[in-house]
This record gives sequence, structure tokens and C-alpha cells, in this order.
Amino acid sequence: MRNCFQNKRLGGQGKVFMLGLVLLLALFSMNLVSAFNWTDGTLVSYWKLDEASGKVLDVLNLNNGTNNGATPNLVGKINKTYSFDGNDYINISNSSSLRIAGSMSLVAWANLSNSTTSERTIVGKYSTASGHANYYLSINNGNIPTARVYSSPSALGIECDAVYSLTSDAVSNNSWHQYVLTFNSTSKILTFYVDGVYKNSTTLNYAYLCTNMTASAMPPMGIGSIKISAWDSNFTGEIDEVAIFNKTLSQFQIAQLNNGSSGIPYGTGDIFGIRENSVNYSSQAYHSDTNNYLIINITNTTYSYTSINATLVYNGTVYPTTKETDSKYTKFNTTIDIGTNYGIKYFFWNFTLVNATGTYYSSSLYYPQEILDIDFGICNSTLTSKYINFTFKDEGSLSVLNATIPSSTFYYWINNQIENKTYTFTNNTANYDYSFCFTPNTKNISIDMNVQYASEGYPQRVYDPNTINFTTTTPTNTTLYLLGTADGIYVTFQVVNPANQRVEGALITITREILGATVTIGSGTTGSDGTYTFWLNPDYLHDITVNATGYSSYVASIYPTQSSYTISLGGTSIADTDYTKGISWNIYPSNNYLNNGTTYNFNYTTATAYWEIEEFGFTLENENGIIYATTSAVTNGGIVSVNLNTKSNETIKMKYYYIVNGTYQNFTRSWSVIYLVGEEWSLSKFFEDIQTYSDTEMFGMTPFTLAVLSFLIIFITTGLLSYQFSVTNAGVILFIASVMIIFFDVGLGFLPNVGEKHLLSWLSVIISMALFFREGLK
Amino acid sequence: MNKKGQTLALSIMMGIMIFVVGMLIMNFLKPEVTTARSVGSGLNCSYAGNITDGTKLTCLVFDLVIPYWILIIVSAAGGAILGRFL
Repeated sequence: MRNCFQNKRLGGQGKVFMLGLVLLLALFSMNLVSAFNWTDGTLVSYWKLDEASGKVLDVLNLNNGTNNGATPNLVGKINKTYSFDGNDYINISNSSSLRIAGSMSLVAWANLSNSTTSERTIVGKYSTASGHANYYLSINNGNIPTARVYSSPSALGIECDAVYSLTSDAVSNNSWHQYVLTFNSTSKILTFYVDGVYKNSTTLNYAYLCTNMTASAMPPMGIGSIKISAWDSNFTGEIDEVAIFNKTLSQFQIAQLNNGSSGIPYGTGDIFGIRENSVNYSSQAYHSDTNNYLIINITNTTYSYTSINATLVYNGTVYPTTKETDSKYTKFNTTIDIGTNYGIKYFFWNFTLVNATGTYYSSSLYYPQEILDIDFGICNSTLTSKYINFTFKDEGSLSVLNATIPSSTFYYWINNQIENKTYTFTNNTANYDYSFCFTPNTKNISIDMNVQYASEGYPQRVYDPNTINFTTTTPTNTTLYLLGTADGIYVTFQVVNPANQRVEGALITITREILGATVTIGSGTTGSDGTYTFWLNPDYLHDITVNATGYSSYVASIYPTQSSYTISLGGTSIADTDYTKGISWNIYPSNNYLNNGTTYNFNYTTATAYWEIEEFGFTLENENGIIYATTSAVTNGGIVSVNLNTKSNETIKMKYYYIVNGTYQNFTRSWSVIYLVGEEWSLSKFFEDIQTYSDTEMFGMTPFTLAVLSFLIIFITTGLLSYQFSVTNAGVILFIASVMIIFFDVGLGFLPNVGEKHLLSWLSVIISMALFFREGLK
Repeated sequence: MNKKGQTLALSIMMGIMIFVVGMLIMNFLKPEVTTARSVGSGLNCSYAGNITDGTKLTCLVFDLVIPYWILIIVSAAGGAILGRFL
């Protein structure tokens, strides 16, 4: 922007635009200047240092660190902290987000345990292993707090110049102090605050900090030590609440964070007079869980907000909340679907606060939630909670059988079916039973299964029921029945609708009574042909139940003595009016153009995979609707054809049709008839074409290019011919050149017209004739 | 007519036959070239503004098929006649 104003060539409109832009920015600034709003995306990383073990977590989960010897889980400035004994440090891998060349702020609390005579690193990041601090906070000899950066003339943070170090008066041992380094890229001012109070500032030569962005390898960030060869000074004491912002915090905001030396988490809404009273959620949730309740209770402590609203930000996704307000609390609750998430996910609430002085923005603390996987499968050492148990019996003798499961598929989920998982199982060794388990054993599970089972001497059957909900209480014992080879027959059921169309997806369930109990013999879903085949005992009465979406249930009792049955579903069938369904056709000629005066074979081929075609055919007519031919066939598909001469028509139209379900479906296909007059070959066509194409600059050749090429060809050809045949007579040489000039000028049109048309040709002819005459006169 | 004269007469007859057959074959080539160059079913050679440079080059090659063919049959016929003397 500064450059824009300095640009003397900036016009009046440009100045007005820039002025407007500045005014607009000023208006925004007026609204936001008093609000500390770290949820505006300027928080780069925030290490609360509250962990008891494991990774050192960045609340944004972007730049988690690794602890190298520091003692965690000690009482800190805010909640917990790490203690560093002089050779410990926290390593945070180098990342693009940590390499900051523009405006930024670095905030940390530190408690030095002993007076120091050498520099002790609180937190910092260097741009190279040999020096050049990007940003760095330390306590130097004599307990002097120090802030250090290098500046750079480039936004890439390269070509770093001299070091800039700011210091403060000495701080006491064994007490917590807040250290804040800020840099404003616009003003180039580096400022150092201690305990929320301005201490020192300096103006850098350049507007950027040194990051050495183009370097191939950059050192990591460090807490307690930056651990690079050039600077390896470990901290002794405790460090807490380290954060980096990519904006310049104001003194007011820094004082807010200092909170009267009590400190405050960077993100608590208490900064704006609201306090988190309670947050209710389950610390663990599960894959595909749809009932993940997240609730926050807040209190309006100081300011008189007329409106408080909140959104939940869960794992980066924003969700609306439902607000409930009573005399004491404002509660925001949200139910979200976990979906396919796994691992630790973080969430927080963003608040929009309105009172008489304006609108403010704040947010809650971050909270973690662990998303666990759900798992279903054959029971084993890790899957131990039994939900289903299959055993097998002979349907005739009711004796227990060992059976195989050649194939089985289980789609399972918890709560509503938003996301499901799939488990497949095969076992070709006959077993007495099969138990399937599920974890977590505190959850109910829904399973849509298809189990194929068989035994030696017993044809394979399929158990394919509707979705079954299994609870955590007791396993569901299911007996699957097999029927011996000698005792049954294959029976195919075809399901059709009232229009006699096949119904796909109809669930057929076969049951019969065994020892006073009704048991499922088999179940299955019809395929695209509307059929499903069962292995059934014809000697017993079976109940057939068929259910399909959009139709009434069908129930019947039969002795299945036939090899096939047709079941017609009635009731609320959905009328199928798509008369193109399953119909395909081809039309020839396939070209879009026909030559005039030419006889073609016009044909129309139809086929069907759904409807029955009652009749099909076509008529051929010209552009005026004069019909030349008609043909048709009363068959369920096939081909009809007619030979027709295009004569001198401009257009030939085929009006083709087919009839299904008594409904006439018609379409039109047209061909343009083209004339070959003017297209016949002739030698002049070549010259016409080459002139026409050269006008369109074929292959990018402009008229000038063609003229130059022509000149070169004339020049080289004339030279070669005169050299080859030892021609030295000027008249002959010019005659050769003239012939070529005429070829390129008149024949190809590559030479430009100078004044009169073909002037170059005329001139060359006249000159060559003059030379001939001169030679003759000699 | 001596033997040399008979050979010359035979060569001339062979040359004429090659030329006549070649010209007859050219009658089959001409409509094919016309169709290949034509609008709609062919290369659309007349629509210079709507075809690619590659198609234009192909059109020019097709334009030269007949001249090439004439050159071939004239060369073959001439070769058949003059070959006896060289």
C-alpha cells in the first residue's frame, strides 16, 4: 500500500480507491481495536504444557512437540507445566506455520529457578543452525530478559542483516513472569513486554524477520533450549503457556493476557466477562456415533451482554448450537455425528457477544475427545463380547450339524446408519457353532448380514434377514437349518408387480414350524431378474412372506412342490412410467451427413431388457414432410430397414417409434444431405486451397513468413540451378527466377502485392525479357 | 521392320497401355479424392476456418494425389518407351 501511495503515476481514481480502502480498514479497526480476538485465525500455535505424558500438544494440533527430559505435570502458572533442569528441552519440528517473516507475537510465562550467569532459552526458533534468530526469548546473564530477532529485506526472510536484541531490567528468581515479543511488519517496530508492561522497542532496518525460507533445512523450534549448534543454552526452571500469534498484540491485549499477573489461558472467554461454568461431553465417542452431545454452560460475569450466541468448532468443522438461558446460565448444546473420525479430536465454542458498546468475539478453552473404532468379527482374544451365535441343525431330523460358512458379509453400525463398516468372514472347515463379537460392549449394534452356510450332503443356504439390532445384554442364539440333498428341491420365486414387471430388492422370507416353533428356513433378496432360489423340503408347509418397498406385504402358505412360483405384489405399487427403461436402439447410417444422389440403407435396431416391445418401425421423409418410405415390425425388438436414394433433398428425417405397455414412444433422427458440386478435384483446387489456408495462417505462418520463405526458396533454387548447370548468363538466371516468382506469386499467392496485383511477376518478366534482348543485340 | 523397329513398336505399345490403364485407374481415384475432401462426410477442406492446420495439410496432400498419380503413370509410360534406348 505504501508503494502505491509512493507511485507518482497513480491516477486520481487510484488515489480515491486507496483512500476508500484506508477508510474502510479504519472503520474495521475502530470496531475491533479494543477486542482481544485470538480466534480470528491469528493464533499460530499454543502449547498449554498441561500434559502428564506423551506428546507436547499444540491446542491447534498443528505443531505438537516432543519432550526431551523435561518433567511434566507439575503445578504451573495455569494448570500444569514442565520443569527444565538445565539439559532438558521440548523439540517442535520445523514447519511453514512456525516460520514467520511478517507481524507476529511470541508469548510465554517462565519461572527461573536460579540466578543465571549465561543465557537461558525460554522459547525460540532460529532460521539456520549457525545463527539468525527468527524469534527468541531468553533470560541472560544477571537475569536480564532478552528478546532477539534478525530482520530481512525480503518476505522470504532471506539475506538477514544484523541482530536486534531488546532487554529489560532484571527479573527475580523463583517467580513467574510473562514475556512477550511483538513485531509490526508495517512500522518495522520490535517491542518487548515483561509482565504485561512495555519495556523496550526498536525499529528494524527491514519489514521482515529472518526465516531463511529458501534454505533446504531449518532447525526446529525449541522450548527450554533451541538445541542448535550455534546456541545451545538450556533453561533451568519452569515454562508455561507458550503461544505464537501472526499478528502484533497491542499493549492492552498483552495486559489482558497478563491478567493482573494471574495469567489466563489464551482463549478463555473470561477476558470478555463470561466464564465457563461446566462443559459436559463424553471423553470417548465411537465411529459412526450419531449421538455425540457436547454442552457448555457459561455465565455472563461482568458485561451486560444483550445477546450471546455460540457455534461449536469440532475438529475444524463449525456446527450451530441450541441456546437455553435461565437466570444464571446460558447453555449451548449441540449433537453431532462422529462419522468416520478416529483418534483425539479437539473442539471449542466461538462466542459472539453484543452489548451497548459493540460486538465482541471470544471462545472457550479447547477440549479433547477420543474417538474410538467399533469392531465386529468372529470372537477371538481381542474381540470377546459375544453378540451373535450361530448353530446348525438338520431340518428333517433336527440333529445338530457341523457347517461351513463359504461366504458371509456383515454391514454394521451403531445408532443411525450414517456410516457403516463391513466385515466379511469365510470358513470352509465345518464347525459346530460360530460366535461373533463386538466392541465396545457398551453399545448396541445394528447388523445387515448375509450368511451363506452349507454342510457335506446339505446344499448351501443363505441367511439374509432384514437389519437386526443386537443389544449388549445377552448374545442372540440363532439356529440355521440345513436340508439334506435327498430331502429337498430347488424352488425359484419370481416377484412381479401388477404390471407384470420384475421387482428387484424384494425380501423373501421362508419360515416353517419345527417342534412347535416357527423358524426361518431361508431368506433372500431378489435380484434384477426379480427372482430368488431356495432349497426347500416339499413335504412341509412353508410360510412365504415377501416385502418390497412401495408394495403391500405378500404372505402365503404353500407346499413347495414346484420348481418355480410367481408372486404378484399388489397394493401400493409405484407406477413405472419410464418407458425408455431397458430399451436400447441403433440407427444407421451413423454419419450426420449424406451425399446427394446416393442410395443408403436406413435401418433401426431395437432391443429390450425390461419392457416388452409390442411394435417398432420408422418412416423416412424429406425436409418438406414428404414421406418416402415406411416400415415396421410387430416383434419384441429386432431390425427394420429401407434403402433410399437421397436424390436432391436437403434433409432426410427418420421418424422412428416403439410401443411398450400400449404407449407410443417416438423420436426423430435427421441427416443433412450435402452436395459435392464445387468439391470435385482439379489441379486448381490445390492452388485455391493453399491460398485459402495461407490466409488463415496455417501453422502460424503469416503472409510475411510465407513471403520470406518464398524468397529463400527462389534464391536457393535459382542459385543451385545456375551452379549445377554452370549458367552465367544474367538473362537465363533471371528467367529461372522469374518462373519461380510467377509460381509463388500467381500460383501460390505467397508474394505480397506491391502496388498492382502480381506486379513482382510482371517486373521479373519484363526485366528478364529486356536482358534477353540485350544479349541478342550483343 | 527390323528387330529394333519391332522392339520400338512394342515399347511404344507398352507405354501407351500403361498410360491408358493409369488414366482409367485415375477415374476411380478422382471421386475418392472428392469424397475425402467433401463437407460433412469428408475432411471439410472447403471450410478453412473450421478445420485444424493438420487437416488443412491433409487436404493439400489429397489435392496432390492426382498430380502425383499422373506423374507416376507418365514416368512409367515414358520409362517403358525410353528404357529400350538407354
